[in-house]
Formats: sequence, structure tokens, C-alpha cells
Amino acid sequence: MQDQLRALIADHCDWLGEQVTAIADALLTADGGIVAEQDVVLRARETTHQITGTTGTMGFGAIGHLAAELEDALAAMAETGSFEDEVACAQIGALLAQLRMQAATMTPEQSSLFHKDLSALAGG
Amino acid sequence: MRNLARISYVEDDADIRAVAELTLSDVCGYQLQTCASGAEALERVAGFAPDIILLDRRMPGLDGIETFARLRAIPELTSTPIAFMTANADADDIARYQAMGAAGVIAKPFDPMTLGDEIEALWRQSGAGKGEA
Repeated sequence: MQDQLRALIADHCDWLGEQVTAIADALLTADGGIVAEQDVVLRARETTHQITGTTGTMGFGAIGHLAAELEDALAAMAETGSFEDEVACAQIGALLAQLRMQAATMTPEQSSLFHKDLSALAGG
Repeated sequence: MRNLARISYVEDDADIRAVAELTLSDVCGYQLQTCASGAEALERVAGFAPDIILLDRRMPGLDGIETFARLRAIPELTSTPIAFMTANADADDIARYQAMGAAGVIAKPFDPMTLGDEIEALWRQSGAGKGEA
């Protein structure tokens, strides 16, 4: 079962990289700005929300917190319509860049669950 | 007093369902039913006769709140404890869920190593296990 968990974590690392790339492709303009469309920002927020929950559960708490910050920033932008606010765009761009870097360099062994002993749960 | 045995978990995220299945079913030995949507839950949960139902709060289609209301309207499930699984629930949210009749809230992201204990605690707090052999 430990192997199953590790396989899930490895799959999650691949999934996260794909999702973060998809968010960046949809959200960022060629000059590093944010696509000024509420639907695009809301879709990015939904994907980021999914990342927040899943990544934390998979034992990558720090990345989950980073995703949560990005989710909040995207939610605020969608709510206020501040698509061209330089500060908001810069914050989202910076958070997304951090998330992309984390996703690109993460390994399954970095998950807090990777070395957990599942057998300790059995019969508990 | 009986033991918690059967759990229904309604969650749209496949990875989270997989982790829950691994830890709750394969490791902890609960009989776990997973549903990928509120609509699927409405079709399947009553037939499974769970001891407790876990509902993701935020799902596409029927969200957790709507699914909660519709599950509660099913005669076989009127007294089954239902807990929400949610991120970012504040005190007002938790009070609202409790006023609706929810058994409680489990925070997401959850820790797979302690999820079983959290569910057991909610189930016992709900009083659902009392009075039966």
C-alpha cells in the first residue's frame, strides 16, 4: 500500500505541472499581463482551488499554501474586475511564477506522506 | 454502542478520492463508497446505507449544500450524520452548516494519516452509534 501511495504522489506531481502550465497559458498575456476576461480569471481560480485542496492532501503543504494565496488573489481580481491593476497583476504574476518553479522542481520524496508508515494506521 | 463501519464520501477530485480509498478502505478497513458528484450521490448513497456521509462543500454541478439538502430528503438518510469537507470555512460558515443539521466540518486539505480519527470523532459526537449493539 505504501507503493500505491507513492505512485499516487508521483502522478500528482505530473498532474500539478500540467495544471500550472495550463493556468499560465490561459491567464498570462505575451507581455506578462493578465488576460482581462472574468471567465478566464474565474477558470484559473477554480483550477487553483483544486490544486490547493489536492496538493495539500498529497503532502505538499507549502505548495498548497502558495496555491491558496494565488486563489485568493484571483478571486479578488474576479470580484473587483481589476484586470489592469498593476499591483494585482504583478502579485498574481509573481505567485504564478513561484508556483511554476515549485511544480517544476518538486519530487515525490518531498511529500510529507512519502515516508509515512501506512501500516501504523491499520487496526488503529 | 456500535462501531463506525460504512462511509460514503462525495468528492469530485479523483486524486483526493484515491487517497481516501487508500487510507480509509485499504488501510483502516472501513467500507468506503466514493461518489464523484452530488448527482451520483443522490443515486447511490441510500443503497449503501452509510453510517456517515462526507460531502465536499464545493463541487461543480450540485454543490455540497444542495446535495446535503437533497440527501436529507431521502427517507433512509434523514438521520445519517453528514459532514462537510471544505477549505477556508470560517466560524460563520461552520455555524451555518451546523444550523442546517450538519454533523461538522473536516478541513481541507486533510491529513490522510488522521482522517479516520477525525471521522470517528464526528460520528461519535453525532451520537449515531449509541443505543445499538
